[in-house]
Amino acid sequence: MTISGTLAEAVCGRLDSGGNLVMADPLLMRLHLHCGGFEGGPLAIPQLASLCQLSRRLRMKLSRPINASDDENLIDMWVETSPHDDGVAISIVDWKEKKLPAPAEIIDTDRQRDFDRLNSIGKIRTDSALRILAISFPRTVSIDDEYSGRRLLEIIEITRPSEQSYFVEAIAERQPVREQTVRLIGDKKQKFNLSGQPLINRIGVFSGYRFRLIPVESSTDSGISPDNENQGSLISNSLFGAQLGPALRQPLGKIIANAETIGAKLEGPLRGDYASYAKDIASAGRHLMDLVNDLSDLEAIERPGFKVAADDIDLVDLAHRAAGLLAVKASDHQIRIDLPSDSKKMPAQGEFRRVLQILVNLIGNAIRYSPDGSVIKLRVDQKDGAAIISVADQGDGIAAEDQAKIFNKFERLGRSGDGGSGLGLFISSRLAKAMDGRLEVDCKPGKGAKFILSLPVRTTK
Amino acid sequence: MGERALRMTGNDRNRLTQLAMEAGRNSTSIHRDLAALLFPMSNALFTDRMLSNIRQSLLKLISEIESELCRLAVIQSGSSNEILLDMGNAKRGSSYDLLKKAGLLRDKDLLDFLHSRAQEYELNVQVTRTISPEQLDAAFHQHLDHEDPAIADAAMAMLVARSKARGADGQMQLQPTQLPAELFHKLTWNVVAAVKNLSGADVEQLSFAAQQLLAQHEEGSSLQNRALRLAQLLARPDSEHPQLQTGGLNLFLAQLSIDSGLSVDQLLSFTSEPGMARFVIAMRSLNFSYQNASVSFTTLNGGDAVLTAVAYDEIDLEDARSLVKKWAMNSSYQHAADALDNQRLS
Repeated sequence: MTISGTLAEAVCGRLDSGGNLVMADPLLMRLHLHCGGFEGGPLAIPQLASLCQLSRRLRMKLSRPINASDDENLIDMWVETSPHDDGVAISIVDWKEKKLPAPAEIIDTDRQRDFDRLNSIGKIRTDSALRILAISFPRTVSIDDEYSGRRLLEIIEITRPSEQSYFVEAIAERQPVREQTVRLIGDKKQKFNLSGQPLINRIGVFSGYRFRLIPVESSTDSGISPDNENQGSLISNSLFGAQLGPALRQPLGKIIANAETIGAKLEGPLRGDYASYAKDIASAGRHLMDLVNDLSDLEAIERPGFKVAADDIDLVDLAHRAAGLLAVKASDHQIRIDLPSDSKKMPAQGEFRRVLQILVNLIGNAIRYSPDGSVIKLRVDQKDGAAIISVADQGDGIAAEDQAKIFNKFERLGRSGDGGSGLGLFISSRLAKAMDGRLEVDCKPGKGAKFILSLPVRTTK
Repeated sequence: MGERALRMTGNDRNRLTQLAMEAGRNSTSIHRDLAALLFPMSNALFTDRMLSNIRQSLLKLISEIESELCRLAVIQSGSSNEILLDMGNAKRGSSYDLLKKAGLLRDKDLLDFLHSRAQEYELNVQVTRTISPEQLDAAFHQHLDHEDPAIADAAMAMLVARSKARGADGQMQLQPTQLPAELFHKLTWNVVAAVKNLSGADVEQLSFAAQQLLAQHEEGSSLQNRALRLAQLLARPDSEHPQLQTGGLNLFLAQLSIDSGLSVDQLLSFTSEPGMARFVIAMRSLNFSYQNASVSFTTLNGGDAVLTAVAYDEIDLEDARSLVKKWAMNSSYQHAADALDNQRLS
């Protein structure tokens, strides 16, 4: 409901001496509840609550404009307050709602870094002389300061099929750098795709580059030497990881980005149903992207010699990060993710990115199969030399006969159309095994599902 | 000299002694007064007329509060305290000197408020020099005849408040009802203390009267609040900017305040600065057309300076927005940030 004009009658309310909203007309009560209040509880509309406090402290009538907002609207009000012995009377004489502007994109750097890690993306920021200001490598937990201040070409070298001359020319002309194959000097195994954009500061002066560093999949996960990788076969063993995956991800990424731009009407007004189609396209694109990622992972974990890193990790920290990544999705369904206190620690051993991937998969499934408004609980524990993290939802649970099947490849238990590929739990289970851990399910039908990930405990040296 | 002193009565001598003691106490502050005149801390410009208006307004405010307080105290308690009776009947502002000497009138909020009202009065004079009152009234009548009764009522209430804010002779007329609640509260309790000292009346009796006086205060009836309410009710598309010619100064400032997030008093203080630089930035931040900004600038500035199109258009919109955002921040934060900046520079 949107109110665009003035009120025929004032909206009234009353606070008791403790600041609790003991009486309110529906419009005021609706806003109070939207702001997180509850019936008979403390007034939850911040500016209005301050005004009432002031009115009570001064023991004077006040008459002032205030602003509030609910999920969709900014509300301009004109409020009159009148203190009494047993509280404050509120009378809102004007109430004008206008649509909230689209929120400016706020980049939370920590959260963005988690997304980057999950997607195996590293970042390098340089100054105009290509000196490294900040660097983060894919698949590592910490940002490596060892490289800060050094010139980019002191730490990477351009390798075939890319050409050093193209790279140098692009940099000299301050042009974007696209998909150059590079490797760290001194590391023959790991190759990366390096792409970068020149940065122009507010007064129009070139101020450096921002690069993305994406590992070339085949060289690490397979453990196969890059030089031998394509020998004897037109299509390598690494179909998704090295060839189809990147080839599909790029156009899919463009489809998703463009469809989201159209759907959000960022380029201008659009008929409502067309915007809705664009959102469908973006959603289908994301589904396909997830499938490509799952198939790449599937291929990687099924290769002989698949290895994972043994990072020192903290399961509580990872639980918070995974929940952060899915916070928007959970809030779309009014689902609360109940996390262990961040003051707690649960040290374990496993690859940071892969454990994050497992937790994102488990929490994502829990959100998908839980009723709106429910709670997903994450708990940590230590048992028999294993660090344990569990994800429990309040959905329908899984029947006993299905529990053994759910870790099978492409197993959907008869479900379809919910955006799943049937690969997530299989991949998560295999990843857990690769880290010397295991993934199990423990649930009773109708009482929700509980997935338990166990990993080796990190022993302090 | 010695002979003249000998001819003085005892009362004269006492008074002279008192004056001497007072002069002795005050002499230590001469350098502060001189420093304030020689080295002003702000860029605000004060004319003699503004200073005179501020002095008279302050005296009038205190007189009104004092008289109403004493009147209520007498009515409630049936007191026969003659001083109280006298103070209730005559609006002399006996508390003024006492509060002044005690330094209680050197209050930042009070002085800022008085400065804003004096500046507002000056600007209104400037506006009516450029735009005739008939033209302004004709433009304002569209709000009085508005189809939405709430807007028409708000416009009428603002018109009433505007006539009360100006005396019959068109001079600045400041009533206690113009004061924001916090300021009225503070000033009332200061006057209570002064009246207690002057009359020796029972403090509980005065306190009870003060509470009654405070409960009667209607801050919503001030001209500034009436203008703000009308501005809030008048829905405008984002592309439509307020114009000085269509609503007069108070409505223009109220609309500008709502659009920019700056308070009306802040905007008024911007207009008192040389070159009205911050006021121009505020208009630029809202993407006022040059023509609109230029008319407002020239009208408020009295035509002493000209805002050129080049100078205005060269102000980067984003820079202007970020400056206005900073100025609109909480005043305590700004005060602290300025103090920290000054400390770093010194």
